[in-house]
Amino acid sequence: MKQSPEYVQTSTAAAMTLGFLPGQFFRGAKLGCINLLVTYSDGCRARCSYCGLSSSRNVADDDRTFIRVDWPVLKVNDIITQYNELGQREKNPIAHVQRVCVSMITHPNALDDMNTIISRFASQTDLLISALIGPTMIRSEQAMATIKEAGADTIGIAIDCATPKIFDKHRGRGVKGPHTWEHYWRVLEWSLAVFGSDNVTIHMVVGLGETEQQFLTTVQKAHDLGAPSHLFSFYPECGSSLAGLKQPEYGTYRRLQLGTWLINYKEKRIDSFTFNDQGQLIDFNMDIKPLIADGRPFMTSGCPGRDGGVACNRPFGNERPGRPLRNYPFTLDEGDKADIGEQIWEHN
Amino acid sequence: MNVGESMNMIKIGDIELLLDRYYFTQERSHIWLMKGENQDGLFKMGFSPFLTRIAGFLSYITIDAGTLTQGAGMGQYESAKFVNRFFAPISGRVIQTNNVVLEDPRLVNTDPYGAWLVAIEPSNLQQEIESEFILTDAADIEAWAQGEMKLLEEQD
Repeated sequence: MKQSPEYVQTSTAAAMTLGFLPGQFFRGAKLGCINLLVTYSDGCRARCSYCGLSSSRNVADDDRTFIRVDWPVLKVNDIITQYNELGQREKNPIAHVQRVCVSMITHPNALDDMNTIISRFASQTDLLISALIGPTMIRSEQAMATIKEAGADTIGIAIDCATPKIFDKHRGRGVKGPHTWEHYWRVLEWSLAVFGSDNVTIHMVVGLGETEQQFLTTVQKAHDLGAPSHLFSFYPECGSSLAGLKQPEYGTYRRLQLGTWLINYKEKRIDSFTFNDQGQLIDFNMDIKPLIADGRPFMTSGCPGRDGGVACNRPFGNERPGRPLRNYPFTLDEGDKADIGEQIWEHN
Repeated sequence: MNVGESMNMIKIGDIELLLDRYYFTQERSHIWLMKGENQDGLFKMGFSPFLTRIAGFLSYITIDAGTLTQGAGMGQYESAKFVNRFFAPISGRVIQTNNVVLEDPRLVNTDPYGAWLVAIEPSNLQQEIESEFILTDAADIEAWAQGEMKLLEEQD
């Protein structure tokens, strides 16, 4: 069986960038981060309703996707060799790749195997290293220290849900899953103690039934602890229990991108924004035109590269290419900014 | 760049181009066109391996025109990370669509020359086949393919 730590699942985008799969990116996007998942024959033990990896998902193995696309299984050795070989060419075709992210799933071997893989990247490549951890498999602050010792510089925690109730519904008792809201936040605090502020980030998924006010309340809570939030748009994975749910409206997504940016990087607080009685953000109480003209609040949020820009840019991770983008993996053009100007005050 | 040629095929790098058909190159289309086996005057068209080298594994192909005008849009292809329109190689009427391929577009990746998309009844073949964008000659096909491969290598 092809299992970690010798093998990993590799995002389609990373496999394309490294030449394991054919293909280029629409609009000339370039990938900044190699995203990897540990992999086991018995899969993830969690049952999250929206996740392509969920053990409760009802699809054939050949149809199994995660964040919308296939994740081919590759040898860690081959990935490292290929990265180094391409990087040594006179005209480096993957100079835009600055980071690797190794992700746990909910499996008893995941922490040790993630650390083994991280240590191999740390010793054999020049890449920055993120660890996207599965808190349910982490039972002590000392476990976080082992990840740092392995060579990770940044921790990601996919809290995903904006409230304890939504978390429990989609990841905990509502799906007979093992995760709890309280433990995820406890592990976030352990992570901050070991890695320090701004070196720990959380993932948040827009569109799981939360209001905009609830979403930004959690963004504010994480920010106050020292952890910026990275946004993902819900995408209905075929065969998952939320396969029939629509993606969030563009207006909602744009307001949450901008609100998150203002909280994380501009020292604004949620109580400076105005919400209506449905929890929709109706006023930032500031001139947002310069922020739309800047464009950065609407680019993919993710772990940074060496230049301080976003490395984890996930091209077309939240939508099919050609559809209006939610997370822009590149600098916005004037047409993109015009689209955002129209979308941001759409309320449904 | 490795270039090879046999009686029936040109090989440029890892791309094989069969010489039993024509290639339509307008707007960097990567479409092949071939007279059908039957004596019904129909032409079949499909995508050359250049297209899947650019797009990767195809997930959707749509045909949105029943009456074709040479050079006008006739459909769209899409993969996980790429999408583009494609253009009619000749004018005419779509007589048949290959639903097996439209329902499983990865067949284009695995068998690009077997996975035809539509059968076309041409309406102006004699004139349109003279178009600078339809390559019928092995030397022209090879020169075009070398240029395409160079562009691909620059973009990779």
